[in-house]
Amino acid sequence: MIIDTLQPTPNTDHPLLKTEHLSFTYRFRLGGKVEPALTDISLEIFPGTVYAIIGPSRSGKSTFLRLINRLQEISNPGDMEGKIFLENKDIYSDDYDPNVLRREVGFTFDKPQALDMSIYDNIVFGPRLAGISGKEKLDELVEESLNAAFLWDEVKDRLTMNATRLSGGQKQRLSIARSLALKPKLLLLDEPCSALDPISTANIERTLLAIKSRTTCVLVTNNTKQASRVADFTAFFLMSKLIESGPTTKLFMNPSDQRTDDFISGKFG
Amino acid sequence: MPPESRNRNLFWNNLFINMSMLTTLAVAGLLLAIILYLVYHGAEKISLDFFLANPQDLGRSGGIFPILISTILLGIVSLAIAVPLGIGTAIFLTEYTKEGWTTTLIRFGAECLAGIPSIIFGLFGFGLFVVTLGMGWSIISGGLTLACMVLPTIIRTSEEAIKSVPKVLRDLGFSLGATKSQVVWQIVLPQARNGIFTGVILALGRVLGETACVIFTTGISMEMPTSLFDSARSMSVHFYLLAREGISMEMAYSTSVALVGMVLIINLGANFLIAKKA
Repeated sequence: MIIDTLQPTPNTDHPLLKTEHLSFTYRFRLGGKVEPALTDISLEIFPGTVYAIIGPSRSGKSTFLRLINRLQEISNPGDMEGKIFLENKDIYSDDYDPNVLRREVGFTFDKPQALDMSIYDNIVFGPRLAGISGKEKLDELVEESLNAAFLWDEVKDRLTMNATRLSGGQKQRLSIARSLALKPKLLLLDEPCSALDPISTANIERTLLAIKSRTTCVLVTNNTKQASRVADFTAFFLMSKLIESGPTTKLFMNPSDQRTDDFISGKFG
Repeated sequence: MPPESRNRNLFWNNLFINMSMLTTLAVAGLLLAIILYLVYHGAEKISLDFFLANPQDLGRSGGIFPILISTILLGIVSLAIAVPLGIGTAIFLTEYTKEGWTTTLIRFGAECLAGIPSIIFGLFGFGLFVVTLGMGWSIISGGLTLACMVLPTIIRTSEEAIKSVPKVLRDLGFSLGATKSQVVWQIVLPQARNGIFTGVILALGRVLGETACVIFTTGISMEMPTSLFDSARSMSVHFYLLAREGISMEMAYSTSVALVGMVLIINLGANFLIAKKA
C-alpha cells in the first residue's frame, strides 16, 4: 500500500476549535465610524493540522486570533457575538478560566519578543506560573521545548544567557518554544515571520510542520506563499468577512470565489 | 546649490555646533568650579578621623561621626517610607486605572507637590509629626517629612518607567497564563527597574542635601542617636549652623565636601549598578 504523506489525514470528525457566527466590533475607535472587525465567521479547525488565515491587512485576522485566547478583552475590548468552542467547550462561558484557556492556547506575536531574563527562565516562565516545579522536570521541559523549535543546538551551552541578546529569528523560535513548554493544544501565530529574513522564516516553517501532530497551529500570514507551503487548510478573510475556506490545495488551485483568486494571484493585497 | 548659499549654510551650521559646545563647556566648568572651590577650602581637615570622631566644642574641632550616621539614617527612613508608597501609587495609576479626570487630578496634585518649597514641607512636618502626633524633634519626624517631599519625584519617575514597558510584553505575560498581578510583578516591574531606580537615587540625593525641612523636624542635636525617636543633626544642617552661627567656616567647608562626596559616590554607584544590570 502506498501512503501519500503529502496529503493531510486529520481527524475530521471532531474539530479542536470551532467558531459559530463570530462577530466582533471594537468599542473604542479614535475618529471615524465604528466598523465591525469580524462579521459572522464560522470555522472548524481540526487537530493535527496547520490552519492558515490569509488576507490583506485590516481584514480581521489578528482580532480573530486574539479572540481565541481571550487576549482581545484585555487590550482592546469590544462587543462579541457568536461562540467559540475548544473541544466542544464554550471558552467564553463563566466556568472557563481565561488563564487556564491561555495555557491551552499558546500565542506568538508578530515582532519577536524575549523576556528580559535568561533563556532558561523564558522557557519555564509559563510552567512555573502554572505551578510546575522541580529542577529535573523543568530541565526536561526546556530541552524538549527548545528541541521542538529547532533552537536547542544553538543555545544548549548558554541557557543562562539573557534572552534579549538572541537574534530576531532565534527570539521568534524562543517564543514558540516558550509557548510549547505549556504543552498547549493549539498554537496561534500572528504573522510570526513578518520581521524575519528568509532563512529564519524557513526555520519557523520547519518548526510548524514538526510540531503540528502534537500542537495544532493557526497561522495568520500576509504571505500567501507561506500558507501554500505549510498549511493543510487555509481560510481567506477580506474586510472582516470569511470569503472562503478549505484544504489549501483546493483553495490555491481551484478557488470558488473570484476575490480569493484575485488575492492569491496578487491582483490586490 | 549656488556656492554663496552653501557657504551661508556652512556658517550657520558651524555657529550652532560651536554654540552648543560652548554651553556644554560652561556647564561642565561651573560644576568643576564648585567642587574645586569646596575642596580648596575644606579638604585640609578631611581624614579618616574626621569621619569617625565626635564633634568637639560645638563643632569647632573633632569630626562628624554622629552627624554622618544621622544623615544616613534619615535617608534610609525617608526612602523606606517613600519608595513603597511612590511605586505603589505609580503602579496603581498606570496599571489599574483608566485614564480619566481622577488620574489627571492625582498627577496634577503630585506635580504641584513637587513644586512646593521644602521649607513649607518642614513647617507642615513640624505641625503634624513633631507637635500634633507628638513625635517630637526626631529622625522619624524628619524621615516622614522628607518622604512627603520626595514622594512626587518617585511617583513621577516610576510612572514614566512603567509606562515605557511595551504593551506587547504585558500581552505576552497574559498569553502565558499569568494573572494581572503576576504580569505587573514578574514582567513590568523587572523591566522598569532601571527607571525606577534612577528616580529613587534622585530622591536620595535630595533627601541627603535637604536642610530647611530637617531643621524643623529633626532638630539640631549633635549626640549619636540611640533610636529613631531621638533628635539628630544632618550634615547639611550641621554645615548651615557652623557657617550661620560663625562657629567654624573651615569645618563647614569640610562637612560640605563630605556631603558632596557622598552624593557623588551614591550616583556613581547607581550608574555602575544600572550599567551592570542592563
